[in-house]
Amino acid sequence: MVSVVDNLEKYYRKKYPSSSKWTQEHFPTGIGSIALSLAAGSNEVGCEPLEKAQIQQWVEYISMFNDQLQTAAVSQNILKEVNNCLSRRTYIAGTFRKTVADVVLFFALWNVIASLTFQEKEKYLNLSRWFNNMQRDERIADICKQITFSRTLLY
Amino acid sequence: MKLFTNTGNSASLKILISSSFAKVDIPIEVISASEAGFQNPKRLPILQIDDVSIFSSNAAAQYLYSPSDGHLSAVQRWLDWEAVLLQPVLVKSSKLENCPNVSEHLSKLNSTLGKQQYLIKDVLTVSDIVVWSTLFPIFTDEQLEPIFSAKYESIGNWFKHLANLPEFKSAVEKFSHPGGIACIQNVGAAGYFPAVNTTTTATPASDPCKKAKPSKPRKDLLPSESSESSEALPKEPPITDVELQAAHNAWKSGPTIKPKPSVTPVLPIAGERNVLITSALPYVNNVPHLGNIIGCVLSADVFARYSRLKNWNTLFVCGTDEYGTATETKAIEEGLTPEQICNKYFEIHKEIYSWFNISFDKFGRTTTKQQTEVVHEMFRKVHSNGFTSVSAMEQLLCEKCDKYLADRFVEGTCPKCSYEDARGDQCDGCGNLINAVELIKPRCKLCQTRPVVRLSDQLFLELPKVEKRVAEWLESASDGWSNNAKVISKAWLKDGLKPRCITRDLKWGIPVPLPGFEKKVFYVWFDAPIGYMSITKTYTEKWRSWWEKDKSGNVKVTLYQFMAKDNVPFHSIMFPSTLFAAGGNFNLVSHLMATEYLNYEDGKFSKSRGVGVFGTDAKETGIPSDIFRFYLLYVRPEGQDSSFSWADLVTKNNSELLNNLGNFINRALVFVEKFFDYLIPEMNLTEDDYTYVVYINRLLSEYSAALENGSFRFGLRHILGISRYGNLYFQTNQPWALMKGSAEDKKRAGSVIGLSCNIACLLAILLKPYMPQTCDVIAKQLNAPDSVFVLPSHLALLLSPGHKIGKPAPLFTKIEPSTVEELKKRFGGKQQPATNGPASNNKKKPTTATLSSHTASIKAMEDAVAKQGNLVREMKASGVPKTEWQPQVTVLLDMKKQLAELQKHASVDNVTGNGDVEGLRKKVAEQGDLVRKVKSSGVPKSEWQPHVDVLLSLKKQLAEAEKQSQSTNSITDSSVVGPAESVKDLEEKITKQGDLVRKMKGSGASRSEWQPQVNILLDLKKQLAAAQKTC
Repeated sequence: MVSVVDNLEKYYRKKYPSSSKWTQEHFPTGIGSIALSLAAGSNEVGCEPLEKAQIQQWVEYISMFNDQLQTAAVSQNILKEVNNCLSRRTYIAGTFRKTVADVVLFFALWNVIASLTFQEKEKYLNLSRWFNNMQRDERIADICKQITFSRTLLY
Repeated sequence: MKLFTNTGNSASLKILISSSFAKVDIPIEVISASEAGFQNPKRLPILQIDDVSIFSSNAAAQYLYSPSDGHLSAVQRWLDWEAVLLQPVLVKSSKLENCPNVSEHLSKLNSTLGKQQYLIKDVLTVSDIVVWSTLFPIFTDEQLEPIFSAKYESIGNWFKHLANLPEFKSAVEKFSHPGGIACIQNVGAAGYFPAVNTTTTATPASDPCKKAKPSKPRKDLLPSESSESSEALPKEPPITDVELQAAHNAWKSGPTIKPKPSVTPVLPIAGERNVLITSALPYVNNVPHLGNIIGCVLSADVFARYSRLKNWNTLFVCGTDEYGTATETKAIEEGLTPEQICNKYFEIHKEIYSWFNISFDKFGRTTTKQQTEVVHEMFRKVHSNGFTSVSAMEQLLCEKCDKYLADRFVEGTCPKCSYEDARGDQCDGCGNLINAVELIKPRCKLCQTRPVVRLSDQLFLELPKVEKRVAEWLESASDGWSNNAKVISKAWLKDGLKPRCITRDLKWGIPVPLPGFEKKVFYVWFDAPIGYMSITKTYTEKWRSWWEKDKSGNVKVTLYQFMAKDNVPFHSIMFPSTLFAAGGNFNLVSHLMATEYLNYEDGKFSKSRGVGVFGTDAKETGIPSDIFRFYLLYVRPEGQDSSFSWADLVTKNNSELLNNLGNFINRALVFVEKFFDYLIPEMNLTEDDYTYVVYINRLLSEYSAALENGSFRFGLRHILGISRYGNLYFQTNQPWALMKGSAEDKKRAGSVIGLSCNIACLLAILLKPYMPQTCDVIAKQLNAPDSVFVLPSHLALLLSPGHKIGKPAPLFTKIEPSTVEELKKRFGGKQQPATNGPASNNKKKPTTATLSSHTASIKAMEDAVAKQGNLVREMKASGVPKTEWQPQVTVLLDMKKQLAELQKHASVDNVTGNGDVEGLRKKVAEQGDLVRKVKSSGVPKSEWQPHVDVLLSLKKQLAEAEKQSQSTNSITDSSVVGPAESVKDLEEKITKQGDLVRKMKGSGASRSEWQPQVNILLDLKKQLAAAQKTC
């Protein structure tokens, strides 16, 4: 399994500084702070304080569950929540452009989405729309294989 | 700004403390955790800022009390640590004082705080606020506080120090809850937290797959497993005594069953399991691509081979579906008769399937006399049982071709957008779907004459009459079907069944044996499924024993049908309906196995664009058919669409086949060759060895279960799993080292090698359904007797000590990754030539063409337009997205414009040509004079004849030219001069006629006499009106 961190590093074309004091002290974290650190400096982490908070909360959200997405019960709950949330927004943090929250969520969910059946993908319609939109991003398309979504509803 | 929280939720403290540092007063509204439904995701506390809800207390705290840029990254790590690890551990653990997870985190925190005043050196940041709030329940709990303060002194001091700060004090006051461990429950009740791993906590970028703890063979020792393949390895539960006993017994008893000798023809036998397998009949008019192959024939083949391996009585039939319009169209396209087309493509199909080693018992076709017989028999039953009806349908008939035109044989003007080349089913101009009879100025595609609309009687199968029986049967029978087959069938029934037309006005089909329908044939979908029966009939005269229920009830046949999902309704609704209508005494499908679609490199296979690998191409790649079979089955679209990718094929070949499977088998065999002189050594299995045998037996039973359910992908992964255990066993026991040791060690090495060879033999058996050629190669290298090729339930002693093996050799070859690009390019389509070809050709033609060759270039242009039109239609029909075909439509429109331009020029040419009439007359006169002169001079005929010939040809040209100029003149006559004059004329005539009528009426003549004159008058008046209008 290619880790989310590898993908984030490829996406942001930066290496996560592994020699930092933190890792020496073995203070583990989730992928959230890694994503924020890699995206730091770009507008993907938000410009206004409120926008930053909206982005951070979603980065934290996925960071909490990233390690447990292979458990069906967890991933289904996450898919459901994210799908609901995307019913009224284009990007996850409620912004009008793609942010680090979308990027990290995308990489974290890739394996889960790739394992979904067409029927399940139809169940998470908003999520599928968002995901399909995200995977068309040039930088993402270079990293991840495209997952096929059916445009005509089958079930 | 407003804070919503449930009572005593310590996470809200993070926000309250931060707000008092920020000197903002935030009103609090206490709600219950169950009320937290107004936002998504459901969490508490929430900080509401205008219309934005922040559901993460950390993000909210950071928003209120932002760290400086220099500390940002460190703060984010602390917050992440708190959110991902500390808080979930506290929420999910009980007996915090004894919990190893809690102490692991707090020890680290304690040592950090022992070295510095705050979390980040000596600066108080929001991370202190967040972690402090999270620990608040513990350090305010009467019982826990003393324990924790003693154990984590630095944390205790840090906690007290912060608690005394005014900002913390005021916030705790506002929090108005005594604190204590209850606060953690309140946090847990209002959020959703990840479960906590009981082993070590996750490190960044850790592999989550590694946390499962294997019992004996340690999973993390398994050689190079990808995440995908690891799903084949179950998280091993401990081995039970029963399993161990079974492993012992099976090993010692050896193979118990022998394979049944094959007999032809295979017939069902009473008391045995009889399996009838069909694969959807591929349509004859095209070369099948890899998606078609995995969808039906290859899937069915794996099952058929598995079924034979289980010693079941197996019949596997398939064939080409040959009747119908599509064949007729293809025949016209290739300039052949439908029979010739069928013969040609039947051979192509047959050759492809034999290259793929598809083990049909019979590969037939539907254009046989048996097919006609069985279809007629079935129809007569359906008809006499009263399940048919007749109803007239409007259809276009071309009188010239004497043929009812199928939609794709009509063209005309679109009724919606007036596009002139609309097809009978769809308009290329506006894209609307059209009913062929609605076309304005319809024309037959073949002869261009105008067809007439005729009512044509058609036979209908009365599906509503059998609907109930079908629904009942489906309810009970569809348990063993693939999920998509169930869903699609239920969806069809939900809409209710309507009568379905089963006849067509075509020539290429099975004639309808009913008076009045002599010129009609059966619709392909009525006859194609019956093809399964007729193909069985060509295989054996006793075909009824396979298809009809045994009257005694002793012979049971289980029918498995394989297809892609688009074929499901015809097999789950239509065909069963026909069978019910025909009396119902038939064996209906008990396992309908449908696949989803296979894409090619994430696009679609497309014959017209040359994208993808077609059956005939596969052979030319030089890659063995077994590798294609392996990869197609590895990515078989079960449950969802999948794609064929060259890069993936190469990776799977090199990693799974070469490094895993091939490596294991080859190593085991080479050891026997080198150290034991080709003889299987004595084996004394230890308890440790039996552990491996048990693991292999488990995978073996999962393999069986997977194949039984048609989950071929999983079956394949279980094979690779067994081989992975084999490699692990080899690696762990190191026979190469043992061979250098004592005599005892050498004996042990013999046991290891012997067991490995037996595992290799088991693998050969399991591979038989998937990779038949490879299976044969392994069998040869092992010199394994045919008698072992029965699927065992447990690993048994298949090759006894002393058995002599053959010569080992590598089973697979590496495919260089560099070939990926080459293959991708080769099968990636012919976009360049296809897109630019006709367009560029035609751009050149008008410019280079001289005026005199206009007619020739018009012809060429017309051809090019027709070609481009076909291309566009094909592309649209193949279902590619609009973005791809739109450019081609633009090219087409452009070409049409050019054609129109050319035609205009041509007509101008003709007009100038007319001006030569005068010149020609002059020439004729001159030539006439010459001829007269020559003749009168008295020379012989041979001399003046050529002059006469010239004169005659000139006269001909003149006559031609005069005709043309007249026709143009006559147009000018009637249309320019005509109206003004004729209006006058008509007015005069009308006056005269009017007088006549009045006179006649006045004279008292009878009506019968003057009526004709009145009619003439009225007619004249009409003409006048018309003439006035044109003026």
